[in-house]
Amino acid sequence: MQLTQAQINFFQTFGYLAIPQLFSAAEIARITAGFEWSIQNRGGGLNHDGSKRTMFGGPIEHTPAMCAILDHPDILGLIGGLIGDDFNYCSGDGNYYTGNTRWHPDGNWGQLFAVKVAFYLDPLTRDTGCLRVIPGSQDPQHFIRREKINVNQSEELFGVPSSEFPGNVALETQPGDIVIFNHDLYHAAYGGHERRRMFTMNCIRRAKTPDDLATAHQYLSIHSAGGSNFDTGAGMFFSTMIDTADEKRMVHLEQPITIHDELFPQFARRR
Amino acid sequence: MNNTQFQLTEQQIDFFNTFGYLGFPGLMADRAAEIDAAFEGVWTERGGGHNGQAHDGKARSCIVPFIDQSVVLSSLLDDPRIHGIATALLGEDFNYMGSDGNYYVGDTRWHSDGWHKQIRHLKIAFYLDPLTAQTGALRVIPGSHRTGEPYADQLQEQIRQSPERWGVDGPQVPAIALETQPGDLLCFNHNTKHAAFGGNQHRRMFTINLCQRYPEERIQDLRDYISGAARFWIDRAYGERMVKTATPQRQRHLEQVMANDGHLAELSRKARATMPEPSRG
Repeated sequence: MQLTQAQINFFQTFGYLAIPQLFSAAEIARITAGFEWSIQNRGGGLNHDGSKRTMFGGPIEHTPAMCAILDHPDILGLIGGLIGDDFNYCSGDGNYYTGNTRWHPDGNWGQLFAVKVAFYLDPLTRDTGCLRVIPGSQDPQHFIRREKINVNQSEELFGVPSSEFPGNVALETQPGDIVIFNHDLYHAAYGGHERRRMFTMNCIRRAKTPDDLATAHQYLSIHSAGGSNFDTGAGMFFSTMIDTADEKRMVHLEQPITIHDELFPQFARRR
Repeated sequence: MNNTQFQLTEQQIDFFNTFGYLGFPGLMADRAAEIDAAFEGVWTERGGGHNGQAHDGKARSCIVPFIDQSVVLSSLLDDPRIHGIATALLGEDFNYMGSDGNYYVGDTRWHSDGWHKQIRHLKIAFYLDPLTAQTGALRVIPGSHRTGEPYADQLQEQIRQSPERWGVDGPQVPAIALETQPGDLLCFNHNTKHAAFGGNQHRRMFTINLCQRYPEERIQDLRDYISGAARFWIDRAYGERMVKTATPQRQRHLEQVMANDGHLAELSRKARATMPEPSRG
């Protein structure tokens, strides 16, 4: 997959891009099965009772087949088209969500530094938990950022429920659809049921300048296993991701591994 | 509701300032039938469509100024609700800036009605038929009125070429559809990007344009704005019924334009010489 210039422009202007049916029905069925195995066996999914979100790290890092998502040509084309072919893969989260997710950005980097690739495994509509975004809100000069508008208080501020914040767009999805968005984009979900299956991949630009390196360190000091004081047993990633990687995949792993080991030597791979 | 004391809340004013539009569901419901009848009366009196010809459903029919053609519609300027909205958003001395009545046909592509950086211009829109996102309801892009901000400026630059620039057609541009029933009122900043898609061949809508009073040092800008009305082949900015039935309160909202539209007749004469028909919008 190669993004068109128009798709890149759309992403740069609005902060997100939805790709319907990036994965075929057979592919998404295998991915869903891999996700279920991972969350059930590695992510605490067995204990999910619907009362709160169940989340685990590195959802694509626990089986070789899931790890291969990072080798998928369309995924590489999608992410590479937006932040460079040599992007860094920086883990992600797998979830059984429960209920609403309030408005928030995942970052405030003020630039296109990090993206999130979201996989929704169930059909979702605007009222059953699909991703909602505020187009353009990734821009540091967007009015909600510049005027420090608390989007979750829009009822008090403007007389409209935060779920209906003016201009929000509901990205209704079917399994196989992919949404990618700038970490700085405000997003939310409303009306989800108690077992909304979704997982993400976080990726950042490969750091090539001192400023980028500092930003990458800052990013991984928070958004990583070590940043959560979690020991994967293999540093930045779970071992399966590294052990099944060929040279091409390693392009996306090596810099985060190095930085993570610098930041969290206590979690560096020992075996 | 006590219409004589209609005021916007702080929340509504903040909403308008932040997002560039405001909706008032049911605000004019008590006058909806009267307005509908007056709307149709104007068209009947003017031949049923554009330039005195019957509306053929192929192209938009438009009458400018519109509410001026009817004593009833002219009185909307005096209605406490319209007046309250205008004074809250534009000041007590706001100007009436004309109006247009339309039988729209099909889609209206994304556009702003202006790109004013100093003087705030407001459009109040009356949709006389129930409209949904798919049948021609007004769509707006919240925040797109904010000139000088990167998001709004980018939209201003690119939105007319959305398929080429963003790979999406007009209906897919991220926006909000303001679905309406007769009696609802919508208003928006002229800068706000707006559009409508899926409308039928006879979509009835009229608007009232208003603005802040121009300061003396910007009078030429006002005259330039008025010049734009020449394409409608009108000699004065306002119609006779609007002027003749003006109360002192209404007169205050007419006087600045009336004092500065003396050049319009000559421009209209030239327009008649070069255009096959008055503009359709």
